[in-house]
Amino acid sequence: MNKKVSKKEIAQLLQKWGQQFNVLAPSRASGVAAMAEWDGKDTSFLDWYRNTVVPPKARFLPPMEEMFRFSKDEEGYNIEPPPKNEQKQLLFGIRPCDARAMAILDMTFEDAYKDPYYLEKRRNAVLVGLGCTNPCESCFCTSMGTSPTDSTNVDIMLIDIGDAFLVEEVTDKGKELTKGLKEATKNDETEAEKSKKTAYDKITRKLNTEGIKDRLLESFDDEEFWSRTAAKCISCGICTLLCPTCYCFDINDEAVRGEGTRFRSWDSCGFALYTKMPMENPRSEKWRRVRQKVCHKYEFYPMAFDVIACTGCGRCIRLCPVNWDITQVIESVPQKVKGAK
Amino acid sequence: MTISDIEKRPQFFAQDNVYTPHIAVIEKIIEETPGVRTFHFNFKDKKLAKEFRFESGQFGQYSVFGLGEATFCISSSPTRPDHLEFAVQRVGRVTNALHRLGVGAEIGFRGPYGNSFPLDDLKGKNLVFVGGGIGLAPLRSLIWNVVDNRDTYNKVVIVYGARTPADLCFRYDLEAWDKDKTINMVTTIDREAEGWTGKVGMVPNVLGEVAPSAKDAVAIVCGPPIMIRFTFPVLEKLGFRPAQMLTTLEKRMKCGIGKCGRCNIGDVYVCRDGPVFSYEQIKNFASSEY
Amino acid sequence: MRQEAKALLEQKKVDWIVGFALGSLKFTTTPLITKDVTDTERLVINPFITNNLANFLTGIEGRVGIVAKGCESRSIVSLIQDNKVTREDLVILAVPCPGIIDLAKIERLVGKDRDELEDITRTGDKVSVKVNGQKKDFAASDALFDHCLACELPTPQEYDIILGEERKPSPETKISGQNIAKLKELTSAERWASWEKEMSRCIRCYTCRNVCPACFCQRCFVEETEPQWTLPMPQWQDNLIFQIIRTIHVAGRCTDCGECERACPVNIPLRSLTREMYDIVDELFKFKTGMDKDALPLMVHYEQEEAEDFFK
Repeated sequence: MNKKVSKKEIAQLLQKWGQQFNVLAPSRASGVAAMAEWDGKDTSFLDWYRNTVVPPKARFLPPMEEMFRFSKDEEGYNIEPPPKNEQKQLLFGIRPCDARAMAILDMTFEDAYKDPYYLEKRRNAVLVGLGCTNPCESCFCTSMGTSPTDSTNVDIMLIDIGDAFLVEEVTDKGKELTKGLKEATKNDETEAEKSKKTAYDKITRKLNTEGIKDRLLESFDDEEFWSRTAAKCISCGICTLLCPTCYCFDINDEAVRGEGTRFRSWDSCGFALYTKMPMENPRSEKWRRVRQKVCHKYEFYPMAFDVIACTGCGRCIRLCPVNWDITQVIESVPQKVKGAK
Repeated sequence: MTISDIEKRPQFFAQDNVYTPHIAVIEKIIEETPGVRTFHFNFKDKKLAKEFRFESGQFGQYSVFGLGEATFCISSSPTRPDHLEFAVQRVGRVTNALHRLGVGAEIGFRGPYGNSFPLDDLKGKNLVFVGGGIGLAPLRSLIWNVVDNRDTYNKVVIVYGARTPADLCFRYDLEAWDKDKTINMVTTIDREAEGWTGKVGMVPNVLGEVAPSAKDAVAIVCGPPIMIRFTFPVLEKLGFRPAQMLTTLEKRMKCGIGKCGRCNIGDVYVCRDGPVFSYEQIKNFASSEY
Repeated sequence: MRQEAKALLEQKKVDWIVGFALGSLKFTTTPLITKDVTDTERLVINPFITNNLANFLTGIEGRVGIVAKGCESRSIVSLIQDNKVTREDLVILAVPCPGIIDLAKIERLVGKDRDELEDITRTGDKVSVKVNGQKKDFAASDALFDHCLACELPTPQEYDIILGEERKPSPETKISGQNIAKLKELTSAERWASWEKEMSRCIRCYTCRNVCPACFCQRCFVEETEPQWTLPMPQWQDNLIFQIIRTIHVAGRCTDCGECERACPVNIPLRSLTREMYDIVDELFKFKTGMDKDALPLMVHYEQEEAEDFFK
């Protein structure tokens, strides 16, 4: 059963939720759209919000995170877990592409050894999705298994129907949030379907991913193709750090006189030192790192989890300083005859 | 296809968290070569020290608190569990710090991680161990495991070499294996050296001279990547099929559990699905970067 | 330009052509680095040719035909002076530059995202933006990048072929230096708090370093572990140390091309550091990188009239 909420009532609704959760909503401090703690009254983001620069993964796999603290006394070392963060988060306005990315990340952090830091944050969080009305030029979610209004990976999904939102209840957690909201009318539901179709049709960027796993496998050793593809890449970390499905991290200690904290922080396979060992670096050449990124997302991850680790959010295309475009690269991966070099 | 069966591996989490190390105390330090030291250690928690189990080939993440972690295989054998051992070559920040530690110092240990040598596949086989430099460390865990269960395995040949006599590691092991009549121990150094009366030649070449038979045999190769790359063709010439060649791959590692992404080769994480792989598996990786 | 580039490749006068091609989004361009003659058809010059192409010279082997705006040519001269690139290996195709349009400024002026703009054109000192069928005009000085407004060399001095009318410099340093002026008005404590706020957004993507032609070190100081100058983690203190050290390291090689600030995905006002450094270098040493092709690189030589007394 669908509910509805008028746009004028959003502030009230967020305040109500704010009693139980730490509400995060889009903000534009210093011109950078990001999920930040909601200030308690301003909902003008509904007018300008498209998507954040920093993806929601930052709330679950933060750029820098304490793992544990260590200290020393006369009997030796002691290890303490970091102060517990019992806070429940509510992410308001997460887009379907980013929500799907969270589901893709879950596969890694639940697999084999469970990652306690990420999973605890995920358990304590609620995702309130906001369907897109105005996809960007760089968006290509419809080619990556989702859509601008897909509600599969959120707890509730808000679809824009003019003065109000249709509220789709997806999970039990979501149903808890929508208690007290009015029921949607048949007319509302028709408007919502129209809104979904309009948003879907606005996506202009398309990518055909059929057979990409095999094409990449066969082209893996094509140094000429990868060198050409990597020529203008400058090996910064933007496409990976700001990708909602990338998760590589580094582990470092910070200490003074033997006491301190072990942190984990964002890292990127694009950095030259990422794979450096004392005697050799298997990816010292740029084209190998570019190849790793493309293959990991479009070949290796699907081999392990049956899903391409890309949701078409378009951040990498928009934010890349040299406009290196993953959709152009995927389209240009050659189809090789099996057996031929 | 990932190759792990994590559930079957022994797991010992500190504070219920796979990332938290156990505290361990260094009990003995052996200077193998000017750059390599072996550390004997035991867990501070006596209960854990008694219960801890691992298998040959697995590794641990060792912490110097304040400086970070480094990856080393467990070089002692599971058949001799009174203490644990690992060998460290001095190359960077953490390894230099480890070398500055003395007996009684405390380190962190996370593990055991990774897969292990497939002992079931080695039963009754002729074993050919090929090692170079500090690469003997993971091998010695398996070799002592084999020696302590000698009747389970057939012939044993060990070809081990280093650049110079001073670079030979685990000399006390080499002497013991040399004395063992059931083992053919061949030690070599790369070039002639004063006072050296043993074999001279690079390990792959000496292996070719020793020419062990490939029939019912399994070769286990550990050493610098370049030595491994030259050893595989020698083994192939002797008739070993890729499935008969095992090795341990070395990659930069941080988490040790297949999450941070560093050791990713194709669809495999060396820390979780390895480090022990057969050459046949390696050839089938989606990536040729090993 | 396309013909010149094509000819250079066909006559084997160069191995590579480096220039600008249309990007995959509206109002963007992308660097074109190619050995292929047919690719020269994709070369363009338009008001959106960001990127300092000199950045790619340290990564290419062989002779290069490079399209160069004024800022590129200064960086190229600096690289030649540092022996990172040989003049004889280059054919410089000079493009006199009227300044590059800053999309972020346009978005703020019009109040709409770039995806909703239909067209942006530059005529003389006006920039016209077409949105919803209507045209809006703005002064160029409101729409160009700050570093373009401060440009001291729109036309390369060092080149082989010039494509277009020479342009004289007319730097509007007052507008372009607004951010720095505002910072200087703050107290020391306020300025520190302001930098803490800015640096808290930094995610250590290292784009600022990687787009910079002056950052050509094989191993950057952040990658050192013994000693560890700054932790590789994005806490604001380490981020600030990284920026400060990087700014000091590029002193004498920075041309204020503004790429660092343009490329930063989280809008950190990096030019406030680099331009200030640039001005300090000019004040102390009367040196502007890349303006004098016969000059010696600043940080690598010593003049008797050095500022510091303890040298004398």
